Amino acid sequence: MTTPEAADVPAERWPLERVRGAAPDAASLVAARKLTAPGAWSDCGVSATLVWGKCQGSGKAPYQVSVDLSGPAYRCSCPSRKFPCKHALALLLRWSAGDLEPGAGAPDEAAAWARQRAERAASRAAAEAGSGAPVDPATLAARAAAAAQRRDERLARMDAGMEDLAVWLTDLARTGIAAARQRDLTWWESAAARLVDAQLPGVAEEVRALGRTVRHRSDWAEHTVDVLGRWWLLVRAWRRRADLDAATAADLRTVVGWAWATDEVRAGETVADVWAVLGAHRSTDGGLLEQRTWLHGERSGHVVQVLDFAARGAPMPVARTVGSRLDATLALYPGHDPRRALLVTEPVAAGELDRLPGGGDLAAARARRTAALAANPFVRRVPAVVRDARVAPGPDADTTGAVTVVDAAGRTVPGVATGADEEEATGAVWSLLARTGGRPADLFGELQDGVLRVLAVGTGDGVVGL
Amino acid sequence: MSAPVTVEDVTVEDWADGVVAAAILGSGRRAAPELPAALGGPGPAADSGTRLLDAATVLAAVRAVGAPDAPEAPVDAPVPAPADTLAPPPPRARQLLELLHARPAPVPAAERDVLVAHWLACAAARGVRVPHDLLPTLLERARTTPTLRAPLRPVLDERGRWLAALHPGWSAVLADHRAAASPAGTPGARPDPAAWPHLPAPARLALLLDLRASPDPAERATAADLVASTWANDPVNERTQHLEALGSALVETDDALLERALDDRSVKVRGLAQALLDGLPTSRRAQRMAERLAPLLSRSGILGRRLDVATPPDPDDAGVRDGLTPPPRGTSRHDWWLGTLVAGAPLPVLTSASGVDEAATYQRLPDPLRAAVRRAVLLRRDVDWARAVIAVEGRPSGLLSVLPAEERTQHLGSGLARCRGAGDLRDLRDLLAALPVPADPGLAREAVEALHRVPPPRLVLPTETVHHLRDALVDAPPATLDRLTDLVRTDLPETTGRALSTALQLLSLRRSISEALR
Repeated sequence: MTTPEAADVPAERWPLERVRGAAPDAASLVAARKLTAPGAWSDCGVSATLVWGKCQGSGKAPYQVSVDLSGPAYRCSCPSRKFPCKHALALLLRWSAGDLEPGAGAPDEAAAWARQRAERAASRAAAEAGSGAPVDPATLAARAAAAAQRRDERLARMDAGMEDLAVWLTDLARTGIAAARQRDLTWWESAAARLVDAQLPGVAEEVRALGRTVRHRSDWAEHTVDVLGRWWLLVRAWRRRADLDAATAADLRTVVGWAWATDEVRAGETVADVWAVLGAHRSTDGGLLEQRTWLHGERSGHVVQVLDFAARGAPMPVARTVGSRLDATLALYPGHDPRRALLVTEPVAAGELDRLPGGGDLAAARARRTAALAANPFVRRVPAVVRDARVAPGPDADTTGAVTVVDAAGRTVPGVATGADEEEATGAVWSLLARTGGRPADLFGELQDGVLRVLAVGTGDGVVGL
Repeated sequence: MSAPVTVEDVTVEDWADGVVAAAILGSGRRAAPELPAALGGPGPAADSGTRLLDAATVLAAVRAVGAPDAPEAPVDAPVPAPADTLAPPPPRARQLLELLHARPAPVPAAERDVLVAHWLACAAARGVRVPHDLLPTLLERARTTPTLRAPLRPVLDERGRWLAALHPGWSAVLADHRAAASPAGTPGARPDPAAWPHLPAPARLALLLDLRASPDPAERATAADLVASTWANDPVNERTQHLEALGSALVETDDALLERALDDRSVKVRGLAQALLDGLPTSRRAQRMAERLAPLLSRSGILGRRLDVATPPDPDDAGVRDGLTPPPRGTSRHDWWLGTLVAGAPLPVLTSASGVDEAATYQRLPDPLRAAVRRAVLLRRDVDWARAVIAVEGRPSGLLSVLPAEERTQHLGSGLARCRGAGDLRDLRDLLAALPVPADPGLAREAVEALHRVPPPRLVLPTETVHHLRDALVDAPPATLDRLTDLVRTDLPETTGRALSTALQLLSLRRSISEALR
């Protein structure tokens, strides 16, 4: 049992095996794994004795899940009669994988429940006598050693997972992707589940995505070869990770889905600057709402993205107005450009942007994308300002929202506009056409898979988001 | 990549095809080709799966970096929109237009369209255009709501016309529906009968309504010719809609088409034709109804001051065709048939039977027939008869709208002033429904004051009446609207209160729009 003095020190994480051991049956564990996506979870936290969180199920209100680690005892507002239920298991899986941020405080009802249990336990323990001691340096050192040990354990699991992936990929290459295409979803799902167990959730998600789309894409063969190449590069880079520089290692960490603790990021590189909001994109992936905001630091020249996530129904931080300027300090995640960032200080409005910064023609944008790929071959999206670009509707622009962007030299790139769904994106394309009228304008967008997703347009009237 | 890279007769493209082919079959059956020299040449020896994966890695990188986003040859740039000739709207007007399209919508869709049309009309009068970023929203709205097309066209300006021409759904907004039906596609030209069969249903309907609204009698007559030209092949829904459209303003020459419709296979179309023919006293059916009605009417009494109406015989097939159908439940067959005859026959049949003027004739008719007369008067807009009925009944009787404008205003003014409370509520509803659109400020004030004289809990108004009142009050002075606001604050019945407060909200939005674009 944890001592009362150590109440604000998060409990030591359970290893995966212990979480597995808590599952009533194998099916519960499988169901729980599917619930480990970050989008389903909100208001999570961990204290000395308690892990808690809210999980968005099929109902309107999220289930309130808490686990008293001292028991362990489980509580969840779901109607399941399994004990512990899949929500409690999923919460423990996330915690075990290090994906829970240490929370500010347990929700009242979870805390009250834990207190009751603690009191009951205390009355039982009173007979045995003995009380807690204050945390001494030796305990702290022991904790640090334990943390290092957990890290080593995780890396060992990841190493094993990568080798497992290598074998799976080699098998796939030998038997052919046409055969793999005929496999049903559970085959892909079980490969993804093994990657989750190996704490490689980023790769697991990519495997699931390929399994979902490989049957439907018309370019499935080329696409699958590209994805296999990407994974193989990951395997080979991971084997050499001891020789890699810090930024490249960080890029790898991002690809495999090993989350950074925000405290760790805040303690790293920070940049105080006036940041211009270049554009924002919202998308939904299952229940997860993602908001990506691109910022340009006027003094530092950095172009970074701030990511916000919200579960379905949960509030998303208000989008920053495209074209506004914010005085703020950002902390940059490790890795190569374009880097992810988070706000360290509350931004202060600093006027409006009258012209998109930097940029050039499409050749320059492509050159920058090539440079970004050379530094980080896993990068998918590269931000670009294209100057004096004209926008022409594609043949079925009224239904597909597809346009052609033509730069001053007559080079072209297929374009789409931003939007949470296809209908919104099509609407945004027509807004872009209406604002530019076929005349040259400055565009900001993301170059991805040879397509420019336009997020903002700068005309004589200033810079506006789509 | 502009030109294929060739090394020892193996192009990168051939190599790439080879890699994909090996991947599809599996390296167990087909080995991946060696890397071409341009990409570094053969790698170290390895098992077949590893070699294929190594090749896939290189190929993915080649494609990611070297993938040409599009042909590098210059393409035809789009022709840019010419410069606009109108100024953008003032910020306040722009905000109001944005507000009208906000989600959730501030007002119901139908009302919103009316307010948008008002915004567009005010903008056209002021000489300003739609803001560029709102063009897609308005064009899309006009695509689905044809009534917005005409008001939108003058304020689209060059940018709006350029944009609409690019979108297949929006080019219809630019095109006058008349132009679509005319040979050269020129607006205002006479519709081409050859184009009519190929027009989509909404365009046909819009064209018919438009023709019927024309001041030119020949154009109004053309509408029935168009309908007749495809009558035999149009489905029942279209036949019904077309007749309803023609019914918005019947002309004598419609007789031929309506006579044909009396033999339609659909009972709905037959009933509609019968009802419409009640409004056409010169028709052959009206003549036949007169021949059936006249023998039933006779004078009696010593001075011949009574008008006797005999029981009509059971109708023959021709009578059923003209609308002498079995009555609704609970109605006397004879009263029903007599009413149908009176509503269908020319009104002079009655005066020539009685030998006296309209008022005296109306006075001598029994109640069930009076209702039939009022129907005929309303449909035929017979001013003399309307005056007579109003005088005899001593109330508006729903016929004020038939009277000439000035006379109607007089009647309304004195009628509203006479409404003194809940006992006159029926008349008040009648009077409100007859308010001209828009009503002049004096009448508007009288109407609102008359509403104030009814004890609020008893003021029950049908929703259509409130809608009409709203339309009549569009030019009402602020003081009158303030008085209406006072009324809404009283304890009105729930439905009426809600309808009136929605009406007020729309009127105040409308006033804001007018002021922002004054």
